[in-house]
Amino acid sequence: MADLVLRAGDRRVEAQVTTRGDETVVRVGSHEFRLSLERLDPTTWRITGEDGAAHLARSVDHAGTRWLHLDGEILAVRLTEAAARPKARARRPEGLVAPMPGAVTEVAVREGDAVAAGQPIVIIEAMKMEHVVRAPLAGRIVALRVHPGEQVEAGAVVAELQSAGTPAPGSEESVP
Amino acid sequence: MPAEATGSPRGAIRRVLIANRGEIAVRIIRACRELGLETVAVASDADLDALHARLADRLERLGPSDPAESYLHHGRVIDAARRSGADTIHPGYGFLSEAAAFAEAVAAAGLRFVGPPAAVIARLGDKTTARKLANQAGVAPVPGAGDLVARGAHALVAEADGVGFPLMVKAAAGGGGRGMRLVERAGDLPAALASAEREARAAFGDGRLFLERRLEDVRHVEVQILGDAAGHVIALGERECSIQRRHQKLIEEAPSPRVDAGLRSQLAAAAVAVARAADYVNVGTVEFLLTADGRFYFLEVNTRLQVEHPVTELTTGVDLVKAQFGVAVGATLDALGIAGTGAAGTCRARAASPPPWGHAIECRVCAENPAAGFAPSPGPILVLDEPAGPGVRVDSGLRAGWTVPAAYDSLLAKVIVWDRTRAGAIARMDQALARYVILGCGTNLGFLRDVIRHEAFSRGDTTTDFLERHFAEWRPHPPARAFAAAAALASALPVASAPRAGDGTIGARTAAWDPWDLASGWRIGGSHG
Repeated sequence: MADLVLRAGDRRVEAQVTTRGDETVVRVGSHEFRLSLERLDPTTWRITGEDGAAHLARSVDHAGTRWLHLDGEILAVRLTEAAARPKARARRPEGLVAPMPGAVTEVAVREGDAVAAGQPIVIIEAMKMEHVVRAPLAGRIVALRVHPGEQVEAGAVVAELQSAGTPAPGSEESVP
Repeated sequence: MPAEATGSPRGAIRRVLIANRGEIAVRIIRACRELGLETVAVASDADLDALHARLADRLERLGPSDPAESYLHHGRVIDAARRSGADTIHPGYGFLSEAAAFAEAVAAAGLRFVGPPAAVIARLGDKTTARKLANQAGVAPVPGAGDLVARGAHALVAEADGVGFPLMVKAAAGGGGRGMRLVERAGDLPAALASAEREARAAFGDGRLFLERRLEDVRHVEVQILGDAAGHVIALGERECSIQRRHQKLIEEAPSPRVDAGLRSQLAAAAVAVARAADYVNVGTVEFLLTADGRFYFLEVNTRLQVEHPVTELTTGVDLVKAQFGVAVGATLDALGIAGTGAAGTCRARAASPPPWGHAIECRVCAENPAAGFAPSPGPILVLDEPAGPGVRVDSGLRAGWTVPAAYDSLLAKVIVWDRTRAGAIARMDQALARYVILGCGTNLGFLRDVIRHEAFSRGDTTTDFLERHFAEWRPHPPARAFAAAAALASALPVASAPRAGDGTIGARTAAWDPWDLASGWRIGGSHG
């Protein structure tokens, strides 16, 4: 059995996967799915449910994201094993990430700046649209990873933010 | 401008340069092939491997990916036409399609421009001039006040009370929502005027503004017009494009669910009156706002092929791109067989639209991430499977293995469906969207499908505030079974190293795995106990 964490946007879903012979049993929250999987080509699968109905799935794994098309739904999830999930450690700086690939048009703060929650940190432009990466909470910018004019990938860390509410490094023992 | 002065070539078209990219370039190439015309694609450095660049007979490199250095660069596009031996340039929509100076430069270079004469583009491209022209033609524009550079922005403040609040500030040279501001209260007007003027000056090199009353509960309804060089103009029915997000159309249909035969002929007459007043030639679109009580007001004229032109094609049977080439070589609408559905005489005598045939709907598929507030989402196309079947048309610029560049508009493809009834078309669109597989690049497919399935949409209860009203709180909502399938597939992938004892599943996700590896003989679950 394996415990997986799936993240799609701001949704986080835990799943337990067990294989029994040809059957894969997946538990998601209170739902249990008994599936049999048949791979028809590298990106195409036939997934048959308990009721015997077959569903065609298209799926591909790329850059840490699993893409899936199933029954008219498209899902892009990042999967991690629950056991491998790093423990949340409050004093670790939080990485602010680019939500989309694009060009950095502006870096609105400097390293060491104190910032308020919601304050613009970095502005990224793609497809004629701007996206503002904002501080999710009050704190201090401990590192800036990008410069104006630079191209960034989706998910790239653009800045690191030390939360104002957390102790300074070294004041508390880290989790072993 | 007299034709003699333009230096436009006469006679047949032989080779066409398509000064555009993406789905519209592909669509124009298709029309050229049907007409037996040779095609030249242009591509920026970001697009050398794009679908349109592959499909055309010839490819000309334009320059860097920045649109100003490539698709918007008059000189480079005209040089590419000369180099490739093209005699004609089709601008598509966007980019240079409504640039009067470009149309003039094309003519001056001895090439043919597929579109209205430069003077017509210039006249109608100035929204304040277009409003005056409509008014003189007996078609009421949206109540407002305008053209205000002569008198200065303070003159607009004085006129605002007469227009009434809330109102829209718009740029005379406007388009694409730039230089546009919604102003709720008089106190906000001076600041809105100042920022709109700055934005308009930066975007269009022209800071002139005008005011329009903000009408509530309106539909965006537009009429397709087509004129030939002999002065015949016809209307080819209306399209409703009320489903908009941030002033960008998302879903369009023909006919409008709220336009009956009587209103249709009034709209057609108004559109043709505006077109005649402007000496219109080639395809164009006259846009109106339609109020709940059936009154309509002139908005503007788009002097080009429209993104949503396919819904008109499917409900009239007229191929608008082929018609553009026809009138560009001087053919009359009669000669093109478009004017008449049996009616004798000239088109001038019958401005009214033929009745629409069935119902068509278009959805714009865009590279947007709905989970991140519809942020642009360029990316690789890892898996692509486009819908097809009876009554389903896909105008697409996509191909598997291509990477959607970040430098351009997010429109990837359009799904257009036709059926005899609106309800049938909605069901067909729902299924077409469900079958559209695009993996690797986030899209708005799920959002479009939810809009199509919304009961207010199926009632035809569509006003321009539809998305704000019904979808402001929308979030993606993949069902648990999709997560379950993703978890099962991830667990079932081939294991790179030996499976751990007692753990039949995990470890596979980290395996490097090439989606293009068709030689795979992996069997699911085969290596697990």
